[in-house]
Amino acid sequence: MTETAPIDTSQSNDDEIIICLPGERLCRVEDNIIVGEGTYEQGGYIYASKSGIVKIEESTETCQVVSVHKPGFHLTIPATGDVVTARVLVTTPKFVKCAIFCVRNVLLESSYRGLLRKEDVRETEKDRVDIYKSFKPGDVILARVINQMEQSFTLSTAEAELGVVIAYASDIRKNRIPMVPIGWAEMQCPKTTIKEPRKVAKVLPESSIKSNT
Amino acid sequence: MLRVTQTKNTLLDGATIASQLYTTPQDCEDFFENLEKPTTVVAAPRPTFIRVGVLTTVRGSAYMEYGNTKVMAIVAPPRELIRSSVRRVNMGVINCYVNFAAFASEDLEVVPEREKHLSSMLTKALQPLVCRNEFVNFQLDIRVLILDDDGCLLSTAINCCGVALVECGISTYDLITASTACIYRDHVFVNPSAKVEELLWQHRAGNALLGSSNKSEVEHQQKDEAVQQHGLLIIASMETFEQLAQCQQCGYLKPETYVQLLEYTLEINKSLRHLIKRVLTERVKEQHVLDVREKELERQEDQRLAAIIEKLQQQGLHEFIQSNIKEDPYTAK
Repeated sequence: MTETAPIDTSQSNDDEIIICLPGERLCRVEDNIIVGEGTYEQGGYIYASKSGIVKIEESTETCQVVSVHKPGFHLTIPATGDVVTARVLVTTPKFVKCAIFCVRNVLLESSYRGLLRKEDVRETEKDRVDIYKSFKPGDVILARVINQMEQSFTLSTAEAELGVVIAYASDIRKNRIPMVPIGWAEMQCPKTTIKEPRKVAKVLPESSIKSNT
Repeated sequence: MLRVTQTKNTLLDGATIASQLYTTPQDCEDFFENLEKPTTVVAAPRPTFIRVGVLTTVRGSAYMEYGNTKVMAIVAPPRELIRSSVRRVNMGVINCYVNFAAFASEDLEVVPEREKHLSSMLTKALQPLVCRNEFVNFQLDIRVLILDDDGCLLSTAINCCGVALVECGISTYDLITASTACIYRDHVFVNPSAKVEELLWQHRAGNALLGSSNKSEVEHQQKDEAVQQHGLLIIASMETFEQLAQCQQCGYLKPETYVQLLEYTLEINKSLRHLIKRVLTERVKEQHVLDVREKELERQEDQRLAAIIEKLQQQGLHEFIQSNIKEDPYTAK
């Protein structure tokens, strides 16, 4: 090991920020330290794998998370468990193909392929799911990433909060008036009052989410 | 410059480049005589200029001047693997594309070959650097444009790509630095210029050996006994774990010379590393300031929106929205 200084102590004038570069040793691996984003573990030490600012956050059970936050642009690749926003491209009896264009609250530059299988559409009564009664091409859906396959990400909407968010009635495409949800499985066009079946997401207002957590 | 065959420059239609038609072994000698030979070996990098984020349209870009060698690297965010190129791999795939600018090289005939060679070498050098497990089933495209060639092409390209990768936010295990050193007729050249590299190339092609055979037999035998050392060494190193990411060597070198050259390159790598560190630290600071400013603006916008929502809620719109969302009978249970 040639680097003897454990942390680059170049700090800005005003507030104390620790800047690190890839390959810099941050700290020793201990039981109460969790390896966070932008870091990796090697030979009993935690090293930075990105350039940025070191963050040490207090986790719940007296644990500390060491992570490196890169200012400016940072890369987002959907990870297992992330909620993503996707547009439905193709529906078949067994699965739905969609294009993921937003991960959590980060808009992606290029879309990734997503695959939603029939079994993962609903939480209960999985055998009675009909894809054609749940999604139509063009719908914008919220889904959770459950796996990363070779070709695409496997998605799931088996939660009340996941499903179709924005949809247009199939006959009146020109007006582009989004339908209004009138139930967990139905949406209605406010202009033509046409009802269409969908797997509707129960979108919670932001204020209620904040109060819950 | 030394040239075996005349090449017609297809870009300059009709015009021909005034260059030598043939090189004889004697030319090599003359050429070497004219060459500036270093008396002492100074293991220091050439005057270097690195700028991160030169292009605003791409996420990770870097421009580097290493003496007269000018190189630009572009890293795009990982893309999904194309179906045709899928192999069962549990690591991300790195693709490097090296291109010469049309004005960078005089010898257009060998350009495609050199591009191909440099691309594959660059890919090999960067593979141990990138945390490839973080983007399984993805491919990372790295493009390098060579604007000017004055030797040390591969090492400069590696340096430049290393910086561009960090700028793009691709996880890397370490910072990578690379440098070149070569030996020719007992003269050690660190950071050899294009002329020296070409001379070595000629030597490998057999011109220099032919030159020796022309001379008297006695001399020839002497040459045989002590075959001249000639060779080029390109070393890319990652210092934290003292690893060599790439080690490319050609020519004939004795072990002692090899170690000596290796030490020179590592010395240069070390000082280059300091430079790159400083550049990147500056960049992070710069970005941080921008980030803080942006957050402040965002916060103000959020406050404004919150005030509007507050106002709407008082008007009873909130109840209207809530009443439209009904419980899922299955999950309500």
